[in-house]
Amino acid sequence: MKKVFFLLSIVLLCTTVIFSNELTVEEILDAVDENQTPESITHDGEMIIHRGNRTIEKKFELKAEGKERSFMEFTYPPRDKGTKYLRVDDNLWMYLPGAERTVKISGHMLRQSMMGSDFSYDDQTENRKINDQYKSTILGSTTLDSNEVWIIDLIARDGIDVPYYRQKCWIDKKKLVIHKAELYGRSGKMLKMMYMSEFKDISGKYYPHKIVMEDVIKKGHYTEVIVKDVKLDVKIPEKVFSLRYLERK
Amino acid sequence: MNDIIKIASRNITRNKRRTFLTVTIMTLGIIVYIFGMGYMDGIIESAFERSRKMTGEIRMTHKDFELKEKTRDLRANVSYDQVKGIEDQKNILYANKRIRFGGVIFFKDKERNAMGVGIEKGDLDVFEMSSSLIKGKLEDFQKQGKALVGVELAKKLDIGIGDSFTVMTSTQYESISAQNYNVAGIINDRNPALNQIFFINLDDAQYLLDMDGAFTEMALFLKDIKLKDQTVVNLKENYKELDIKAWNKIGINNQMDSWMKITEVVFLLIFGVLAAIGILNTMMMIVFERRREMGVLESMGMRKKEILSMMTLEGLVMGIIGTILGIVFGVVITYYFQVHGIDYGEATKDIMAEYNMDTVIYPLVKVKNLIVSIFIGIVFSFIGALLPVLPQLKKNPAELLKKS
Repeated sequence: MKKVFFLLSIVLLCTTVIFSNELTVEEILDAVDENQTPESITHDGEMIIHRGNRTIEKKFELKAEGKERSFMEFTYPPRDKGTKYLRVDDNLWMYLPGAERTVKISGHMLRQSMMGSDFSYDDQTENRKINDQYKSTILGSTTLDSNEVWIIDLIARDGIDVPYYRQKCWIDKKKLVIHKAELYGRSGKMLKMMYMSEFKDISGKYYPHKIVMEDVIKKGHYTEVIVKDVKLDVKIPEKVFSLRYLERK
Repeated sequence: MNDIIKIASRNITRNKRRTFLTVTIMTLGIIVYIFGMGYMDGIIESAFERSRKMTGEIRMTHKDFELKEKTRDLRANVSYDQVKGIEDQKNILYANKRIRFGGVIFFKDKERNAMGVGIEKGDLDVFEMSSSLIKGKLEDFQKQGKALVGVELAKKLDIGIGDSFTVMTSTQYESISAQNYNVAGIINDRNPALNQIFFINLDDAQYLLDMDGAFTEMALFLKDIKLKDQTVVNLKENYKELDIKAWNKIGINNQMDSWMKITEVVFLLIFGVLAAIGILNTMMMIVFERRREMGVLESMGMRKKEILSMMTLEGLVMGIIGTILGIVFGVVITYYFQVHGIDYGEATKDIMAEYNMDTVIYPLVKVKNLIVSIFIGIVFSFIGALLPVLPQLKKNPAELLKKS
């Protein structure tokens, strides 16, 4: 009997030690933010939009600094060539080459599809920290594609306007990256599923090279973004993040 | 019989006030019917003519078109392959492809939501652009990047010939898209709805909306419109995956079609009741006034049948006179407004546009209304004369003399 008590005490002690060494949910989310937000980045990308049997391919180049500033230019197909986006803090502008006009995207337009994909402008422009937007709870742990993950539930904080009222994320315990997220509306209905994969260690940070956004309401509607030629912590000229640069021909 | 006719005609001229009242009521009833029905026909023709322009005599669309039309969801579109061989189908005169879309127009510092229509060359004739064009040239419109702008929209944007404006909209894949167009012409159509929109070439619309090789509606015009229902059946057989409807079965046209039929019956009843009450009332007055006369005539040997003939003849003659006068005045009044129209003024423009109607209504003189009015006038005057006389004739002469 004494042996049993002794073993139980050892188990309890070990459990306490393990839990005290584990990160809190807020720390996990901060680490995810940190890991997925390089100081500066440039990369090329392919956007493959699936609409049932039809597939539309687009190509773009991206330059970004932190979460606050980014510049994106579409280079393919010809009808989209020269379409550019500039984001500075909470502002997003779009340059439409066909009309030679810059449009500020704000309000309800932010919820609309970006370039006909399943990503909304909100998805693209969100630059706030997860912890600032959501209250979080760890629902448990599991294995996803042989990765140990936490399942974390995020509910929008009171008074904070967020594109998705609730998110359920599968976060890698080792790499501290999101593998999968279910995105819900205020009604509780799931709207989208997001998958990130092909993480590559670049300068000590894991950066996803494939992101898939699926519209679960419209069957067969999903968009893949393939990231190529990623360069982290590169010097981006200041002029890139200006309206004049956006409107250059 | 000659005596009866003589007595009847003497009776008509004897009491002028009574005859005048009866004839006036009949005349008014016929005028109300001819003008009322002509007015309704004018509205129907005006609304339906515009509807036919907007939808074609038969419209072919994607099955989900009506469901997605309100949200301007362009995914409910039709590809050229799906309408292959349409021009060779029986009774098809021509087939015009169109794309209707919503967007925001920017011109200088002004912006405005507006509806645009991408049209083929053939639609310039359908919309009678050559007569509604008040500025610019239609030939210029057929070039790439050109637009025809409704006069009301042009006023709101303060835009003129040669000006370039931007249209921003969503493609069929919900991606933001924008292009610039040059104003080739300003149109002022009798249909106010057309003055609020703009037209661009179908090719330009396809590029703007990323709808290469596709359109949202096909407007079909027929060699013989009377065969439209049969043509719809034939087309449905050959183009099973599309929604095919005759113009009077589309949206508000369908409701208006049923509404017009009900209104026609209601008008018919209103006139019928008005005429019948007038005739019955006047005839009853006559019968009550003339019970003594009927008693005297019967006691002098005149048969009940002859008295009945005399009375109904009087009613019938007054009815015929009223009908003829009603037709003459009804036609003159209706024709005057058929030429000059009834102008409801600018204030009603928006609500009229919503129902695809003009602010000026032109009533129509129609032969069918004249024939129906003759029939109604004669039948009701006959019945109106017959009904009140019959119960009086069942009484004996002494009773009639006593009661009078």
